Amino acid sequence: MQDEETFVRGLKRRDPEAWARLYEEYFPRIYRYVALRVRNQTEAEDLAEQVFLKALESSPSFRWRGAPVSSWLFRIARNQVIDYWRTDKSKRTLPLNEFLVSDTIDPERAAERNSEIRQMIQAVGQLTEAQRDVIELRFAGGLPISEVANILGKSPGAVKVLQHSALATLRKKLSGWSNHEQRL
Amino acid sequence: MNKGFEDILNTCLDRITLKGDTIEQCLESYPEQAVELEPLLRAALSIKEVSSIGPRPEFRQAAKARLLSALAAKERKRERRLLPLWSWQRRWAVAVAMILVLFLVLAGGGTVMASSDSLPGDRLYPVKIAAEKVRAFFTFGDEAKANLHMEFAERRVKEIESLAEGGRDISESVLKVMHDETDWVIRLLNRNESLRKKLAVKLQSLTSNQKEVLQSLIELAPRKAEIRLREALRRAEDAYRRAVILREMIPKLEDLRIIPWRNSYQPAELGTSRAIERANSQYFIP
Repeated sequence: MQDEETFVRGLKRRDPEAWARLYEEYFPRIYRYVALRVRNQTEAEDLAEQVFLKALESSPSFRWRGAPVSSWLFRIARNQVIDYWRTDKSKRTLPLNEFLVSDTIDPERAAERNSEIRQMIQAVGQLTEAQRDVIELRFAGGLPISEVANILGKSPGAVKVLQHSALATLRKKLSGWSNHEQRL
Repeated sequence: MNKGFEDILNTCLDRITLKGDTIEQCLESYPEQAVELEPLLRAALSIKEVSSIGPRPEFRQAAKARLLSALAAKERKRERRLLPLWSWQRRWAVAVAMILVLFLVLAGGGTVMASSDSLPGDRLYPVKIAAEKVRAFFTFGDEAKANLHMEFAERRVKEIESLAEGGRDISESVLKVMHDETDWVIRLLNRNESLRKKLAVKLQSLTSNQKEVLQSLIELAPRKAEIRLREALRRAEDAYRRAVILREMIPKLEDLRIIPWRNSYQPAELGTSRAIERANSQYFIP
């Protein structure tokens, strides 16, 4: 907790080391969260970058109340994504494109992985808005329930219920698709 | 679906996603709920596939440079707001320096010359330091000042080496002055982008040398001095790390893009990669 407080003080002081650390620690996670929402590599990169610039803008007025820095950053990311969809409806027609799969160099495996990820993104896209919020923050953002609850302004119990129902829906959708593929 | 099951599901998800446990290990802990838990945990693992996607490395690096550059710009803006007070202080400093110079001239330039080879602990060393302070007062412009402070920091390194060669004690104060001179330059480069472009590499080389010298001295130093030198090495390593960050803040060549309507190179500062791609395609495709 002491460390987090020192870290926040560094961010508020606009210490380059603190900001470099924030970027290194959170950029990939913010990117994944945003990518699941906008479903396009270039748009996701742009938005993830904007999240950090927004955080820089608002850092002097940021008041630390004991919650981890990640809650603040993901709240900005969530608002950024909401604004993104609100401002230009034509973005809805953007194709679900290929993503850079970072943990494999085998092109065949990467293509297979990409196909699984596209399928997953489509399945998540069919959840209710509240379920999507929980799943994306929890699994793409890698956040614990307490932080997800904090960001969404819900109780941890309510988030757990949403997590359960979302996973049950996803299980049905994914097993439905895999049965369909097997029949083909 | 009861509250207890949701807690169990969440505990299992934490164990799998955060601690690296397997689904089987979780199911063993909750045999009564295993049938219901397993498909949900497998669905969660499928979602974790998403964690293998990432931004393009070159974008990640360029975006970091743009963020740190925006940070430095903000810092410069803040410094400008503080400028009037700083100028007032500076005028006082110049006045004090002039009095000091007058004193030194009267005391004789020969003494200053003779002090140039002195080391900490020598009778003439305070004269050498006073002469340096006068020189600093009469050096104007950020670039000249930065070069001067780096020169002084380098002098301290050489003094430290000479002290060690002569088997003399390396005092805390000479180490502190070396760190302070270096920190001064780091702070300046942190807020001055154009200076950073010119001097970040030199600063990195200076701090790297400090690190190497201190490291080599630690190996030969007596136990008492070793603790002091280790602390100095820790500060030198910190300075080096900050110097590397400053160098990384310099926009690289690949961050320069052709902006078609101006038909000239300029840094794509805060520009979005999509906008840049659009701009480049407009330029290259007639």
